[in-house]
Parts: sequence; structure tokens; C-alpha cells
Amino acid sequence: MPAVLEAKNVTKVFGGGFLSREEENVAVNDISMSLDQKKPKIVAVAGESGSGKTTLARLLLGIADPTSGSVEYDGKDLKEISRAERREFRREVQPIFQDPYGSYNPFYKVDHVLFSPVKNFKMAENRDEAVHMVNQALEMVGLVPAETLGRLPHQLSGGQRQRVMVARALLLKPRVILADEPVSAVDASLRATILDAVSRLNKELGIAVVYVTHDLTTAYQISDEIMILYKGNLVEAGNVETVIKKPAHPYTQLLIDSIPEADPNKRWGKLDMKKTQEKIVTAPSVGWRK
Amino acid sequence: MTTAKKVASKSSKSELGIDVKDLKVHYDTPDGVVKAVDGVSFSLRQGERMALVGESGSGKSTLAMALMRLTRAPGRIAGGQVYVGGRDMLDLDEEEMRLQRLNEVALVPQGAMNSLNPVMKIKNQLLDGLYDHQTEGDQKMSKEEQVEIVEKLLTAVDLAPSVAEMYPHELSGGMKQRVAIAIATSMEPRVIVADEPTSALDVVVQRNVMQTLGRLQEGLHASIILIGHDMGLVAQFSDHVGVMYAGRLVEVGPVKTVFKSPKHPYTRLLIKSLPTLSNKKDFIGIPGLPATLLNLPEGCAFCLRIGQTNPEKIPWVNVAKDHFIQDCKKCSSYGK
Repeated sequence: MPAVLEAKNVTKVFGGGFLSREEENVAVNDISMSLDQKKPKIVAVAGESGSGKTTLARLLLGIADPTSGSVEYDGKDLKEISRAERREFRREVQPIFQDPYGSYNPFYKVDHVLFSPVKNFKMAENRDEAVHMVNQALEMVGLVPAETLGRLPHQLSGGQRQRVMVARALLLKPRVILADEPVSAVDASLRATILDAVSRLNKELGIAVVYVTHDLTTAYQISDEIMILYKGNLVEAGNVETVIKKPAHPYTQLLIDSIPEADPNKRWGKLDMKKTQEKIVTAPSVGWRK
Repeated sequence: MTTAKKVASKSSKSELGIDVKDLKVHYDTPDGVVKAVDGVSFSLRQGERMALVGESGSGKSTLAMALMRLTRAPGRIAGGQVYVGGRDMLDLDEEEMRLQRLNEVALVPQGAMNSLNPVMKIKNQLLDGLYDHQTEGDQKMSKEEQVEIVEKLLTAVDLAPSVAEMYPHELSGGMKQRVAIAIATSMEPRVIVADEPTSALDVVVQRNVMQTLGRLQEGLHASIILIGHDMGLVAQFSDHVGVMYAGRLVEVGPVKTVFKSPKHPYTRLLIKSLPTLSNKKDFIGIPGLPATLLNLPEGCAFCLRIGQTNPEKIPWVNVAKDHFIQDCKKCSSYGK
């Protein structure tokens, strides 16, 4: 059985065209990953700004085309699928974006983002069924429908808005949810509720999740596997427990070492910055290479 | 530029750096008064680091601005005193206050990306602050003096002297934040207010920038007030922590004691809601929503969040050495 979504040696290069004066910028360099059908997992894609994590997400969503390599959905190259298949792909692979403000039209009630996908993809037979589906999806992410529907986006908190987005993705019965920094614009105390909703979708409904983030602690909390990106390269990948507890690549070590832990007795930043950075340049990547 | 007053005060270690008494900042809105900072008091000795934490809307940034007396309409400082170097900042006229800024109290703003002038070279931005806030008239420095002082300021924040001739867009986020720190420390202030100085930076850069800020602050023997919501950063950087909820301080104490045994339910939940790298289970959100500050009743604000009411005046209780909480009888055992 082919993987639901698979990236095969994808590379994305920006700039550096025939007449361009800019230098080539390799945003994603020869990365492969796949989301299994039988055992849907949560895969975290972690890295700092400029690591290529968002570009990789855009490639997986088919918003950007790879310069070389391919992204395959159900074993078919995204570049070659038919219109009908692409429509199906658009339903089955759902994005959740970073900014819970930008995803809304401020003039429409939040109902709009929930009911229009149901209508567009003909997910419900009639109005009552649609209402039932929306209510169910909202409850799944821990929102009370009566307190959520009928409101304008600005009347909800950032955390609620982002949970409505998770509910929206859920309505389309997707097989994959691709969440690009879903909690970085939300208060630390509300992150747990959103990530908890995402992780329940995976555990209870069997939806595979790609969690793109710069935050290793939340990645560690919810994901099964993790990929660490550095300047477009995959430097370390594998089971999250192994990667976080026994990081093998110096860049992963530096990242983990730099996280300020909420424990005043633990020392922050034990590694020597300069020496580690020298090591990063030469170190080979660690973990899976498919 | 360094005046005798600071040299004198630096010798006595226990002198108060900043003393805030019953500070109130109100916003007048058509629907009523929003008490964004509602009677906050704390003091900090010179050379000490204090962090103020809370969720968005808890009033921490409003408080930072009020300490600099940069509150803008519709906000206004509705009461209280802020003593720095023995003078009440809120009692000064506008011109006197201008001379206090950078000289006595300096701000490292949130998101330095947007706080630098995009069409001005870094060196001019550094000198601008010095000219604008100096007390000894406005005699110009010579070219050589200018080059020298700019180089000194940049080296102090680990930037190459060549940065002086650059524009902000040529710098990375971390470098811009370093420039902001250089400006803030250029006149050796007594108090540095750092409003989420690294919230837009990557972890590795954050660690670097915070180390620089800490080193400079120690060198100047200044008090620093770190505003933020990242409990991890607070635990690693500061000596004292004040937890804010709904415009009020609810718990104040030494970092080690507060993290080890938080006494206020809100602090407890704030620490519990943090994901860590050591255990996978302890990761729960704070239930409910942050309080709306409009027409907030007297009494315990946190009770409202968990569906209770306690309209009584909540007393401050000393629970351990230097460790105080707003002790509400009704919610104090919540989430234990």
C-alpha cells in the first residue's frame, strides 16, 4: 500500500534563475519523508527560521512545486494527478496555519469558515446534518458550539480561533493534517488545549499529522517522530524519544541545550557556542534516509 | 557621561533600584474603565533581576510602559508612585522625565525589529539617544569621541564595530536586538525594563542575547525588570518573579522558591501548563479564559476564571522568606 503522502528527495531552490542576479537559495535540500497509511503518526518537522520547514510544508501541500524530486499522494505524483484527484487531495490533506487572525474574514461570522467547506465539498445531505457535523467537530476540539457559533472572529480569543480552525480541518474528514506553527501565536497557557485537540485527532480518528514547529518542547510532547532541519538539510530524524533524549547531531544538541527549562536548578546553555557551531558544519546527518 | 551619583550609589549594594507603590494604569473606553494595571507594588534592589509574567492581557506590557512613563491615550496613569534613585518618576514634568529616560530608566523594547529607524545608520541611532537624553547641555562630541563611544557600545553587545555604518535591514533579528540593548545601556541606567526582549528570536539566538543582556546589567549593577510569558526564560534568567493576573500581582517571590512550591493557584497552573523535555504527561492547559478587565469586580479575579466568586478584599500573605501571595480562601487549593 502506498503512503498517504510522501516526499521523495524533494529539493526547492529559490532565485538564481537564468537572468537573475540573486544567488541561489536552496530552501529544502533533498529531503524524503512519508506518512504511513496503516499507522498514522504525528511527525514533527522542527527547525529555526530559515531551516526550510515552512517550504517543506508548502511542498507537501502542493502549494509550491519542488525543483527536483516529487511529492506523491497515494502513490501518484502531485504534478500529474487529474483535477478530480486534486480536489480529493485538497479535501484529504488539510492545512492549519500559524496566524489564527489571518485565516478569517473579519466581516463574516465564524460559522462561515465551518459551513462553507461542508457545502463546497458536499459533506452533508442537508442543513440539519451540516449543523450536526459542525457541532460535533467543535466539541471534538473542546469548544461549546452555543458559545462559538454566531460570533465574529474578534469576539473569540486566539486560542478559540485556532481551535475553530482545527474543527474546520476535521469537518472534511481528512487523512492528513498539516499544521504549520499552529500554536506560536497563542499564549503558552492555551497551547496545551490546542495541541491536545490535535493529538486526539490522531489517536481517536487516525489522522496523520505533520506538525511544523520551532518549539522542541511541544514537538516532544505530542509527536511520535521528529525531523530536525537546519538550513534546508535534514540533520537528524527518528523516534522523538531518542532524538530528544539522546541527540546525536551537534545542531540538535545545541537546540536542546538552548531551551530555557522552567527549572531554576537546571543550567541553561552548557555547550560552548563557537565549538558546537564549528562541529555542525561538518557533521553528517543522523537517522532515517529513505 | 558617567556622573558621580552612580559611582556613589553603586558602592552600597542593598540600595533600592526601583520602588513601585500601588501603580494604577487605566484605559478609558466607551464601555467603562479598563484597569489594566490595578494597584501593583514591588521593589527591587540594585543589581537584581525580576521577571513579571502573565498571559496576554494580564497588564504586563502596560506596566512596562508605565514604568517608562510612556503610557499613551486612551491609557493614563491613574495613581501610585515609581521611585528611581529616590525621586518619584510620576511627579516629574515632561522635560525632567525626558532626561530620566535612558539616563535612569531605559527600555529594551518588544520586537527590536520595529523599534529601530530604518533610514538611519546604527551609529547615528546610538548617538541620537545620547544627545537627546543627556543632562549636561547639548555640547557636541568630537568626531573621534563619537567613533570611540559607538565602538565601545557595539563591542559591549558583541557586535563588530563595522555594524556602526550599517542600516537596520542589513542586520539579523538577533543583531537588531543587540543594537536595542546597546542603546538601552548607553547611558548606564539604574533600571532596565526589558519587554519580551527575545520573543521573536530563535532559541539559540535568544540564549546568546539574554547572556549579553545579563552581562551588561551585572556590569552596570542595574536592576532589570524582565517582562515576558516564557516561564522557562524567567526560571533561567531572573532572581525574583512576580506573577500577574488581570492587572494585579498575585504572587511575588524568589525564583527558586516560587518554581519549587508555587502557592497561588494561577502560578501553579502556569507552571504546569508548560511543556517540558523531561516528562511527557504534565502538560495541561489553564481552564477558562483570561479575565476581561472591563468592570472587573473587587476581590479575587482568579476565582472568576474557575467559576467562583469571592468579592472580599484579598490580603497579602507572607508564605516564606520574601515570598508573598494574594491569599484567597476560596481558590487557593485549586489545581493542587
